[in-house]
Amino acid sequence: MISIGLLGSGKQLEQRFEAWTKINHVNIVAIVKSDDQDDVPKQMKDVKVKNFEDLKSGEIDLIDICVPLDERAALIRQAAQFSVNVACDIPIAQSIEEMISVIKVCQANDVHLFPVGTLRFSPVYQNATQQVLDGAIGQPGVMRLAYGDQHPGHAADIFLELGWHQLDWLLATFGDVDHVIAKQVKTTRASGQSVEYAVMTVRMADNSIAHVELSWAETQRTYSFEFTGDAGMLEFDSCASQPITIHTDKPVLSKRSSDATLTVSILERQLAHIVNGLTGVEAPLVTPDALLKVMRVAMAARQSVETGKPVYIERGGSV
Amino acid sequence: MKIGVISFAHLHAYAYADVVANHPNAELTAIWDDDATRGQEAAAQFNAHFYQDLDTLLTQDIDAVIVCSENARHKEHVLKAAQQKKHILCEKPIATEVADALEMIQACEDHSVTLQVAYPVRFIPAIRETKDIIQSGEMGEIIAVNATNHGQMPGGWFVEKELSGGGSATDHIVHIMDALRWMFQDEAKSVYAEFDTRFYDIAVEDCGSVLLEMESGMVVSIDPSWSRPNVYPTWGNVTMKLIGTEGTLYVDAFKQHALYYNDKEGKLSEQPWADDMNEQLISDFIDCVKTGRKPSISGVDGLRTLEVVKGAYASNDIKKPVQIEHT
Repeated sequence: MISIGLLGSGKQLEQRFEAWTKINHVNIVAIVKSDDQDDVPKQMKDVKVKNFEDLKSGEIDLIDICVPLDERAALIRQAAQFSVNVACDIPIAQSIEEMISVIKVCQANDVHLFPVGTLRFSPVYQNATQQVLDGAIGQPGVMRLAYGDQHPGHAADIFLELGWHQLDWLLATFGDVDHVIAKQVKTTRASGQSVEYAVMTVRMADNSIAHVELSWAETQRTYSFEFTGDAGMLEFDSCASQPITIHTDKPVLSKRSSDATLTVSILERQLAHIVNGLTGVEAPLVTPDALLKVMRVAMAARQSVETGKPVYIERGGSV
Repeated sequence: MKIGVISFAHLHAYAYADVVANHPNAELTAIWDDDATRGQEAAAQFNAHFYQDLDTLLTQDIDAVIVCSENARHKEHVLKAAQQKKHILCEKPIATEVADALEMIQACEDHSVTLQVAYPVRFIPAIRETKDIIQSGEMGEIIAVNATNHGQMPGGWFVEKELSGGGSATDHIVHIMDALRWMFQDEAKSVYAEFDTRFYDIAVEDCGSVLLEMESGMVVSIDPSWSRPNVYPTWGNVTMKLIGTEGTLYVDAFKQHALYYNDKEGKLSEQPWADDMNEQLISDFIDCVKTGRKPSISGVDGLRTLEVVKGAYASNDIKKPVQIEHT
């Protein structure tokens, strides 16, 4: 049995709790609140609510941290210093330096760091990775990826928050990046709501070309890809892949997102992987080096927006 | 109105000739082609006279010509036609060099003939409606465009640089660029491009990614790759995702089709049923010549898009953004 602690607040904490209850060989033994609210959702009321500092040594094997980006790095470091393994939403840090320091603390304390939210557990992206690795498209030529959602409503880095998923998957499937150029536009709707858009041309080390679109100008989450090579093409569009559409007398037709119609949710797949990682059944899929590589590309994209020029990625530099 | 066709090197010539031959106000009377067999076959197909000698064709009683020769030969043919006071519809791109385009525009002005560049994308119903929606303000201010003009690799002279001027970038950037200039009345300010040859063993680029900043600040990306596999159900696509402050509009210009699953040939194909863009393009040209009005797509429109293509190649060479020079 793996003993889990959950750290966070609000809806996200509830969602995580819910997912963990469906995972085998897991005991949720503690909720660590990240805010001062006394209320705990009723489904969690049997679990002890504690402060981080009050956790007894050895009480939990892993803490799952679901807090806003700016709080993540400090909490990961704190958990690692208690020799507790960590799961945390991606991105796990806001800068390359912060990322390195987080990884170093985890390594020094011999704890695993599991990023949560990677596309590597999404079946459509998993399938695409397998196809590409099996040579289905041949030598890669142009890879087009797009990810869009509503604006989060607060200031945030689109390259980190939206770009991370895309870049993590891109690098894991197509290899390292040579250089990147990016453009970004920020404005507001007439209603005052923020709208943000970014586009990147990413030149991979093997010279294939990736076009990555990140949009906080959508009304709902959308994602698509098209991978072309000298032997074929693989394409997917979430807007055209819903297994169920509902038409009622309401004016808007209702659609369930294609990756919500799964027997085991993407989040549950990730959590099961974490358990397998901790019990030695599987090696952790996302390595510290991979985290750092993605961070370097995301930061290079941001730098390119400022300079208007392509930014070349430093090679090596594993932690 | 009598119209001649100069060369069937570009496949679009057949579509244009077909429209002219069936047009109530026009007649396809004369054809010249440096490939005599191709020219004679086309003359038989469209019931026109084939001329071995271009100068002879140009001294006939014809009002206008459609130039569909290889890109690098547009200049020679347009200059000759202008000299003989024939109005001209020139296949895109207008030319392979900016200086050539300038010379062609000047010659047509000097001889008071119409020079129209064939950008049929402007006549696609979905694109026209998109322009109307944008201009209505419904989408707010458009801040970015993510566009594709993908195709299959055409082969032939398209992959011979001396004749085509370049590969997929030459072939495909201009359609999107022209449509955007027309929709937004905006010009490209700077361009960054990456091109490569990754799909075929050819001497020109077959793929790439182009990032543009427009004068208005709008960010545009264009994928001009010949990346459609052989089994793709059609020749290619024209798509644009327009990101506006009040919403996002996605247009797939050739979406008006039925999908045909063909067991007899073991393939899947799109069966388009939209209004024919070529018919509208040719009708517009005929009307322009007939009424003497200004062409709806001018030589300068052709020049402006060529400048973007040239800027993109320059950027790809130096791997830096390039400011677009407007001559």
